[in-house]
Amino acid sequence: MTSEIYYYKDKPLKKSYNNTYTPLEKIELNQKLESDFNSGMLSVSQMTWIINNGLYGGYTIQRIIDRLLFDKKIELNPITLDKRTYKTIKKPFDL
Amino acid sequence: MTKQGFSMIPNQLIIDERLSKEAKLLFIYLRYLSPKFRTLRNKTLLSKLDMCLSTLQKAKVELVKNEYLVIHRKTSANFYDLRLPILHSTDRVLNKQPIKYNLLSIKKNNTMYNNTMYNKEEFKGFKKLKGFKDDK
Repeated sequence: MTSEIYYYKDKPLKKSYNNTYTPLEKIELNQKLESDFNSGMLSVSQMTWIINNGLYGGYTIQRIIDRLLFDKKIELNPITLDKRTYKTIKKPFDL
Repeated sequence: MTKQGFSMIPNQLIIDERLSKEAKLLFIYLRYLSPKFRTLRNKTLLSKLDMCLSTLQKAKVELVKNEYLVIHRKTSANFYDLRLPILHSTDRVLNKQPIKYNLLSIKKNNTMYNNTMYNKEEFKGFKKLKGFKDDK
């Protein structure tokens, strides 16, 4: 399966560790991912590519997938193809 | 070419007043195609969109200028990569958004704290207490 590349400033995303993004760029990139997802411009193959390669923005995408799973908009995790979530819902006794 | 299915078009594109209808049509057609099949010749686009070459070029320029499209030139055809510019969030992050109130024009005297009646009264000093003598 050929994955689609996600670009930021006309360059593919860098790794989540040892990257050269400034804090402003990081915030901007996270917002770009969110806005792209909300407007339907972020494909599943791009999500898979980001998470599987450990790229920056993976955490944002994990949150997006978790949100969809918790809201029961999707039944299966598109990355793992099962019902696992990345985080668990906070319960009243959790800190 | 299937007649079934649907394509998702971002609202930002529909609302964008900078783009012409041809540019929007081009974006919609490219969005309809799978990313793997976005390597197209001008001839194909002309026949599918039913427009002349100059109109197509103008539409492409508009999309590229407004950061909706990136064209990768290849030997016999172009690869069209669609993007979505972030207008609001970028401005907010980089603080380019025009500020409603010019913060530099707000003087210390104009702040809400200083405009209260309590603060308008000048400080007259402490009252002299009886029984204490001045050091002078």
